[in-house]
Parts: sequence; structure tokens; C-alpha cells
Amino acid sequence: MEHQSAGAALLALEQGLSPVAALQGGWAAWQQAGYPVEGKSVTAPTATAAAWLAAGGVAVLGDPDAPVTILEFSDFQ
Amino acid sequence: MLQTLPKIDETYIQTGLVRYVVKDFPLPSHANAQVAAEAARCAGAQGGYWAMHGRLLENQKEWAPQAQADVIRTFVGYAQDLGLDGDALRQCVESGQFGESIRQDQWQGQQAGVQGTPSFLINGQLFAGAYPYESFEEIIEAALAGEP
Repeated sequence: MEHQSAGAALLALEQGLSPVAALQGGWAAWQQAGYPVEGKSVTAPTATAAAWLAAGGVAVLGDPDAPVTILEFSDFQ
Repeated sequence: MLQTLPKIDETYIQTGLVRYVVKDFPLPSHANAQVAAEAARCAGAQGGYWAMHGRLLENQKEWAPQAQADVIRTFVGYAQDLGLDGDALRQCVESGQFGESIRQDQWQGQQAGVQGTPSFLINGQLFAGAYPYESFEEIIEAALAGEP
């Protein structure tokens, strides 16, 4: 992250922007310190979503050892 | 699949011959497909995935043209009708917490060559489009017989 921050700072300087600062510890350190951010936050999957993945989802019917597996790709609409 | 799946269920799923998995593949051209997929998963988080799955398919004409704020309200109503916690469903849908797992399904589909819905991968073989039960029967029987 820190390398990315330094790289982004260099890029910004090359583009003629100022003032520019590299974040020590990167973006993660900024957020961990509780500083404000703008825009949509990007969060890790919650426990519920993670549980879905861990269980292979609940959209499954039948024996996991069945000889035939059908995957239906659908969009409800 | 509203008419076909119950027949496949009775003949092949309940008898242990077929495992059936729904993967979400919301198309960008369908404005409410993503939020519907999220609503189904959020219902699933309360143990009501298949009930909501059926309700969404049965009432597609009602919710498909709605604006997003309205469609969430509609899905909350479906959840309540099904005995689920409507407020929890709303919070779940609005959080977008299942977005990543839905994107994973889309990625899997794209890797398999899926371009539209519905599409089916039956023992790894891709079939695009909706088929009557008889076609599924034929394909499943061929797969059970070990035919490619």
C-alpha cells in the first residue's frame, strides 16, 4: 500500500498537481486512523455473505454426490 | 424454470440423481435483475431462498418495471408475506452484502461461455436458452448413461 501511495504521489507530481503527500502506511493506515473518506466505501463481505460462500450458497437442491450436476445461470427478470 | 424445475425436482433431484444449483447472472439490460438476486440471497440468509425464488419468478411482471426504491419495497412485502423479516431483508439488500458473491457467479458463468439467461451447465456441457422438461429429461438421461 505504501508503495502504491508513493507511486501515486509521484504520478500526481508528474501531472503538475500540488500539494502532494505520500501516505505513510498507505490508504489502510489512513482509514484505520479514522480519517474521513469520500465516495462509496469498499467493505469486505459480511459474515452473512461469507457464510453463503462457505456453505456453497443456499441456492442448491439435491445430493452433493449426485451423478449429474445442473448449474442454472439465471437473472430472475 | 417455474414449470420445469418442480418436475426435475420430483424425478431427478429427490431421487438423488441430480444436484441443482442456481447461479446468479444478472444481465445489465435488466434493471432490477441485480437487486432481485440480492433479495433472493437475503431471503436465503433467513432460510427463505427457495420461497423468495418462486415468488420473484411468479411476480416478475409486477416488479420488473419498477424503480429501485419501489422494487425494494415490493421485495420487502414478498418477504413479509413469506413470514420473513422484512426490515432485515431491506437492510440486507441495501447493504449490497451479497454483491461480491453474485459477481463471483457471473464470473464463473463468463468463464463457462454463458452469454445470456437462462443458460445451463449440465455436467460441464453448456446449453443456452429455455428448454421444456422433455429436453432436460433427454439430456439428464444421456448424462446418467455416461454419454457425452
